[in-house]
Amino acid sequence: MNLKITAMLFTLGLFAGQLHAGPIKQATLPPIEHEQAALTVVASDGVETRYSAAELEMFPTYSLTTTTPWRDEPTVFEGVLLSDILEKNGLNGSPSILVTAENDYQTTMSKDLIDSVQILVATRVDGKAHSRRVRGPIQFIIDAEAFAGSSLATEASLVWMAARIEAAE
Amino acid sequence: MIPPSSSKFRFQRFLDAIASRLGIYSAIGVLILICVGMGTYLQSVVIELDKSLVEFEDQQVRNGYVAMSDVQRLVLVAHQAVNAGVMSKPLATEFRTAADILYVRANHFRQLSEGKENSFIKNSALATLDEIVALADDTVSNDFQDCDLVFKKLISLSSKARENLVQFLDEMRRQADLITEQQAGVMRHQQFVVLANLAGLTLVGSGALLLLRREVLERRGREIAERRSEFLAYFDSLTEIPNRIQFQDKLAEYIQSGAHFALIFIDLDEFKQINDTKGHSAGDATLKHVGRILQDAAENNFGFAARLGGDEFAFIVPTVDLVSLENLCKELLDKGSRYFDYEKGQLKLSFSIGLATSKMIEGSASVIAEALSRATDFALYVSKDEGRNRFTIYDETLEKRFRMRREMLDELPDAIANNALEVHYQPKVNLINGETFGFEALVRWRRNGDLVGPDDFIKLAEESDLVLDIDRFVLNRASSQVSEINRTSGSNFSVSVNLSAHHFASCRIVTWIKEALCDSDLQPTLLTFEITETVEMLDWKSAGEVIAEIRNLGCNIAIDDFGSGYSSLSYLYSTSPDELKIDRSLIIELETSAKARLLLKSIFEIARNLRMDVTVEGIGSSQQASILLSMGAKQGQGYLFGRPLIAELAFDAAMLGNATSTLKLSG
Repeated sequence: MNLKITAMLFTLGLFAGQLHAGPIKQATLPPIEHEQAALTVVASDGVETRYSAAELEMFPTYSLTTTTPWRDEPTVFEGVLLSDILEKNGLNGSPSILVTAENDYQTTMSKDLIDSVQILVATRVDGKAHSRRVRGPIQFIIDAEAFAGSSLATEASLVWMAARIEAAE
Repeated sequence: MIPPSSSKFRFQRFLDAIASRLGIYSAIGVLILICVGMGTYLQSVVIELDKSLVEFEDQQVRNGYVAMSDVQRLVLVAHQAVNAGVMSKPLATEFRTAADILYVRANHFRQLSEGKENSFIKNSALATLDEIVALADDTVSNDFQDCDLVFKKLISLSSKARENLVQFLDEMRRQADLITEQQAGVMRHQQFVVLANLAGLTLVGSGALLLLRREVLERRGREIAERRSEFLAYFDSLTEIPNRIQFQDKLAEYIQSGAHFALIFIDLDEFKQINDTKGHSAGDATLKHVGRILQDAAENNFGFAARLGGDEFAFIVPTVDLVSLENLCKELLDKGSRYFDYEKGQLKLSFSIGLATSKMIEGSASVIAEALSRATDFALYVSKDEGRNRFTIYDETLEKRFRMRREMLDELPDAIANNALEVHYQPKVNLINGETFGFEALVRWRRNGDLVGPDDFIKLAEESDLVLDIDRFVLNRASSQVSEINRTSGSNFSVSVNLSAHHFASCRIVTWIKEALCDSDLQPTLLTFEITETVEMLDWKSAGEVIAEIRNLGCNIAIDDFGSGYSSLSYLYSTSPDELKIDRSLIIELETSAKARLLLKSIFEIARNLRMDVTVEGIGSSQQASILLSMGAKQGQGYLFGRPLIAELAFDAAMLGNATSTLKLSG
């Protein structure tokens, strides 16, 4: 059974045109009730698209088990890839993007960073819907090992309560 | 040179030691110490700063401000609900979100403080934030009952939170000021340390460079000195051609090889004169010039040239072909005789060259070296002896003859001192009556039992000025003996003494003549000096002065060997002699040659006109005497009248002859 799933995922990966190596693995997520939250993405043509957590999970979903600066124990994060969202909205060519959180926090992420490190836009933690009280409901997660090895990734890249993505001016 | 005990020398030794051994270790040691000291200090500074930065974290400051904002967000939503009189669903959602945000903020704030020493103010601020979150959670869980009361409590708590957070931020600011001050202090210390280290490194580096430079210069100096001393060991420093040591090695090498070769010695003629008159710079230039000539010749002839010392040079040529060697010597003489430039003008010189080949020498290798050098040296000596500016090829017969002559010359001073010289007298006869009126005093040398005539040693004596002593001896002896015979026998014999041209270089002979006349009491008019015109006599001014002095004494001057050699009419005119002595070469053909008779007749005529007596030498027969008498000759000398004899015999014979002549006349 496991062999069949692996073969299927491999085939899907080939057809999808990309196969993500490393700790981030594609995962199929069961339906779940999310906390009320939304990520607004301003596309390259200026069109704003508001994604609820459930809508975000319409993108290919992935699973990542890692620690974060605020979690000492490895935790299973699930969600979608930031690169997929940006590509969908034509922002993958932008030199940098501006990310705004619900608490008005803002950070700029360069294309180099996004291209060099896989960033998971997590909507679930340990199989449950992500919540604000634990830096959800939408949080940017980078594998701890990749985070430590990157000269571009900083704690500022691990945006919690992410609310808006747009091209940086 | 600095004496080893001097302080300067010790200091130099100290510097040498630093430069060579201690210097390297010391410089490395000092550099390590500086680096370790600097690293330790910087490490301590970093640790101190890290410690301060642990206490003060920029995020904490930001978190304080954001916390105030998050509290304000919650209060604002509550305020909207109070104003609206109802907590609408959207406002409730916003309230919950604001509460969640504040919860996370407080939580994050607390996480940032983990492991740090939290101040009372910070703990108070965190507690207040927790209270606000708890109030908000209660309100949500009570479904927003009694919003006014909640709002009042929220206002009160937010005020308290603001107050605590402001105090916290003030504390953070003080910490920031403290850190800034610490950093400034550290930077000042660091600046000092860096400057001090830079100064130290510069000092050590400069010292090391200076010592290195000293070492390099000294090493270079030593190398130059070593190369120089190596060069000087085998080369002549002035001409830069090989020296005597290398020459000896090369000579031994040639001899050892067994191949025949020629050895040439070259001396510069009159080199001392160049040094004395033109200065040593000219002398040095001359030697360099000769060195170049010989070096070129050596290269062209596959030979070897060397300076043996002074003005002596040597040349080895790998051939014994005498024609080639003669050409080489001629080429050297030719090149040497050309003018060459030196700093003060032009110079010209000449060489005396001696040559011998290894083929001429027989014997073992050790013998050949010495014998060949001696033979070459002899050939060189002959060249010098024969007038310089020539070359001589060694010849064994020549050497033997030369050795004999040399020995004679060496013995001559002793012969003069030990009365080994004798004066013989040859009569001068009146051709008319046959009476002897005087004698020519002729010197003889009784050497090893044999009687040596003047032709064999006078020329040698003239080369070394010994002739002066010989002439003086003859003068004294002849004056004394003739005066004695005149006094004892009542005769009035005159005597002729030969005088070398060497006397005319000074007036010393005049003094000697005075002494001789004084000592012998001989009448000056009975003393005649026979002089022969030679090359040396060409300086008429000097010779004329001496002759005049002699004549002033009352003595007579005769020209000897007239008609041969350099005799000339101008000579007669300048000297104004009292007597002419006609050379025997003119008498030989007297009986057969009308031309000879005509010539003699002319001489007699000239002499008569100049009021000079004429004595014909070399009369060997009565026929010659008769012819001469018929031609007007009055005085004669020759074997016909008597050979040179010792005083007693000569005088007795003369007096006997005169007595016989008188008897004949009276009879």
